[in-house]
Amino acid sequence: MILAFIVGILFALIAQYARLNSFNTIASAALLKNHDVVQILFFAIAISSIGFFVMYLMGGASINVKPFYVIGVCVGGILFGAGVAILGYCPGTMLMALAEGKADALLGYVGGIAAALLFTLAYPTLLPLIGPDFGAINLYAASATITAMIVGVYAVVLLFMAFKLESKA
Amino acid sequence: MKLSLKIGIGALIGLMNVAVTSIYFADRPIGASTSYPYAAGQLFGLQSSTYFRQIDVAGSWEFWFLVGTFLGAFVGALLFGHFKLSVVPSLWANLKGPSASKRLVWAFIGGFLLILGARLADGCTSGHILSGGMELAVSSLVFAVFVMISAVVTARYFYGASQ
Repeated sequence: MILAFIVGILFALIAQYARLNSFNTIASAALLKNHDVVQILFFAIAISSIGFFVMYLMGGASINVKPFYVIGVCVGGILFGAGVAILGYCPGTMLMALAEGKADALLGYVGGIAAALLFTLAYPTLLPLIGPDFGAINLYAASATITAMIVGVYAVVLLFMAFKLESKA
Repeated sequence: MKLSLKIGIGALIGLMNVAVTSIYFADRPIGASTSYPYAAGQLFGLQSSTYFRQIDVAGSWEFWFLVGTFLGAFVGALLFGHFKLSVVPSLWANLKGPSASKRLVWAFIGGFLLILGARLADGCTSGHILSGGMELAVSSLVFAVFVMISAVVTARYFYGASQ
């Protein structure tokens, strides 16, 4: 609990510095007017994918990925994307926006709690509808050498897209 | 924003997530959206529901993570001079007009769609896109693609006419 709290403080300081918790940043990304937040995400994922793989090889981390429920992930992604474009905050940056005085984020939070309440009540009914479940799978191969190549290509593609977006800004 | 700054911020976020995920620290990646059903369950007395029992541990971790982000963002806002009380974001006012009630209604709807989507998919920007992306999760990569397409299409139609 203490660890989660401290990690939260650190992530928020970075997000606050880069204004990732601002409606203008997120909405202009969705409008394809400013690619800063997408580039930062690509850089973060590229670098962490290599860092995580190295740590995993050394026995310092276990794989902890979410199951691939086809309907749940696809429909969820569509609803989530629409929510991000309209609200201009994501679940993590919403409270960070509230903390810097953005009152609209509070209504976003209330809407989020309402959706979470509905989902909790409807979960037994919804569960059979969000499949089929392909399990908690990732793109790692059985051999470490092949996985290293996959991770390498993955990181390079992300870095390439991030640099490519720079010339389009 | 300068490219070097974006690389630096991305590297910092990425390396912090790697460190948090290691077995020596949290032994789990960051995540935010499970805290919503956790808070809703506590608030409405649903602790015995099937779903709450399933997300209890992760939800509590993410709840305290978000309490931390709230404090960190408040300190950061004062530190960097970002604190400013407002209801309607400036870009929203340009695109959709200055009405506060209109913005608040849409913020509620946006927050509702956001968390409903996150619960259906079992993750959000931090849990799926950042953390699942780090571990090359198939679910997270599919989620990220659908989120990007949907956000761009929604923005185009929702803000499009007023641009």
